[in-house]
Amino acid sequence: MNRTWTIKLSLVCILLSLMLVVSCGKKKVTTDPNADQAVTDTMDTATDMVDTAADTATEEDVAMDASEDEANREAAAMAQAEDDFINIDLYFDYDSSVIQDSAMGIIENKANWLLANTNVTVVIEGHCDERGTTEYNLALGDRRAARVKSTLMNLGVDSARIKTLSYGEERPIVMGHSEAAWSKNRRAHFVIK
Amino acid sequence: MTMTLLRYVDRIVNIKMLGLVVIVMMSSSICFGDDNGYITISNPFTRKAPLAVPLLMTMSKSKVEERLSAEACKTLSSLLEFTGYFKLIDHAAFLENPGVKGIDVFKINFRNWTMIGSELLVTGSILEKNGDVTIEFYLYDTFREQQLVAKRYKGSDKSIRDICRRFGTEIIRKFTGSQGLFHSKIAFVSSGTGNKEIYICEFDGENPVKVTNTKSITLSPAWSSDGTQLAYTSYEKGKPDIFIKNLGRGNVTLLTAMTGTNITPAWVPGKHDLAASLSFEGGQGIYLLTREGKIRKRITSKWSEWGIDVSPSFSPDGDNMAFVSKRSGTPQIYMQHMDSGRVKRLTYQGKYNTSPSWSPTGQKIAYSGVSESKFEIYVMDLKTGEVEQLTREAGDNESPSWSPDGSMIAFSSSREGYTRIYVMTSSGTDQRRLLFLSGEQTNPKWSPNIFNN
Repeated sequence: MNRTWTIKLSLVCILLSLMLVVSCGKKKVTTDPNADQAVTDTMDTATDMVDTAADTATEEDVAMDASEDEANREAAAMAQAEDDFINIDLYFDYDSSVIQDSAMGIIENKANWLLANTNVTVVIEGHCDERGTTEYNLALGDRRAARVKSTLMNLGVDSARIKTLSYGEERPIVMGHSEAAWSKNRRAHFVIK
Repeated sequence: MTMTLLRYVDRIVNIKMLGLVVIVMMSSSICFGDDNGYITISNPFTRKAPLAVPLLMTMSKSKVEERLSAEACKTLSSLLEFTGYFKLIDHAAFLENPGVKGIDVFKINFRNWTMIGSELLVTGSILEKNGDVTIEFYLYDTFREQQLVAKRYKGSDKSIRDICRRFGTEIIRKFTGSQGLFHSKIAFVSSGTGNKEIYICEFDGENPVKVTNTKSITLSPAWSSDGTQLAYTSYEKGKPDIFIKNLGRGNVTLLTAMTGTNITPAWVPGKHDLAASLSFEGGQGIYLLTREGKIRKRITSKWSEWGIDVSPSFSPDGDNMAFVSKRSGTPQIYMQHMDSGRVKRLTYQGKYNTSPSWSPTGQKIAYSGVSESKFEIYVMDLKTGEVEQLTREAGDNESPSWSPDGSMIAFSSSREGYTRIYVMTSSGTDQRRLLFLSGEQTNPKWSPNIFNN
């Protein structure tokens, strides 16, 4: 009985949403083409309603199609891996380009992602904190990026896919004059090309 | 009253220079050695020579001449005061005013000047006619009652500053035997536009002009020996590469865009070659390049894949090169003999010594080093190995650069918050801000004297 109601309810929902889409479509056609603002507003409303309808329909799909769910999860995981690849930076000690032991896990993740996504080339940016000399920091940033590149190569990534670029202390990600800011700015950052 | 008031006429030469014609060049026959009594050569800034620069006598008594006389007096005073050699005496203390009363150089009442403590007196006259200006300048020793320098300049009413620079240079040459610094400029990096671009101002901060338009990060200006070309690092192609701007023609050429980081250019003195730090072989090392960007050789040896050698600065004779290296674990200053390749470590105090700048006199290297987590400017005497700290307790002080006569040092400092350009004498006295611009200013590089403009 419960199930019947659910099906009935969802059918009503789908019907309703279809009607809305149709009626909205009509609205678009009949709207005065000179009233730009009105067109936009109407379209926004239509989009919202379509979304709502789609959400409702998806709830049903989740329950009925586990394989599609799996695919969605995989897509989400892949998107997450790519996000991590771009967003997780590698941090360094002051005046050092040595890769910390604690950072090896991050580099392995980067390498695995690059090995799984062979069509991607990457730029490793080397950055420094604001302390120290502009010129020396350009060299230090270069060495940081070069060390990360070398480690990725050791983990099997083709060197032709990795470029390095030093910004020295020119592009801090965190402003501020404390160790809290400095430690976030001594980093290698990954950019997909 | 005639303009021929000079006592000594040694020689007459005609030199035409870009609109300014020095018609008569005369100097007194008095010569000075190291003990000239005015400026102590060993440490010239501990006792400043008291100097009076009253208004010039106006020959036609016109308003224009009065204005130009005031301009000349003010300009020459500020130029001479800038050097740190002189103490300018306040006009309010003067017992006479040659600008109004006139001055007869045959009958100068030297007591009127010695009584107010002035040991030196600059006086003279100005004549203006239809925009053409003739200025006679004299420098006197008021105690010895001797004329030290006498010059006549012809130019336009727009060339007062130029005339003052030339006479000022004569005064400095009389006392120090050097060409001084009045014909030099300072290049620096400023972030005023939102991007780091290179600017050039005159030695005293006047007339700053933006000379690059890379709309990216631009750093490390380096003057060629003749002051006509400026090498620099720029990200305009997306990564750090080295470019050269011809300052006369205005055109820019790419020096090198090798793979990796191409930074810190420095011209070999008197040559068209440059040294620069490149990373294309692994290890950031210093190479010798031709003006066309061809690599002649690697200067610093490759001591590690992760090594850093940057910031070359040549001795005036080009025989030796100072540079920064991490080969001992922390950035320290080394020097390398160019022919033999022999390397010597120079700095041992502290864990961070960078930005070497070799003095034009060849005896000293200025650099910045970290002391109690603040950057300070130091000068090392290469003969004795002694180190003198020139800045203290005033923010971070970095990037020292010597004036062409070795008498002053420009540097950057955060003592007032934002990083700006400052200057001081080579003894560390008279520290003051050079110029006022929006944004932050860093990385000053003092040019050689450029006499052809």
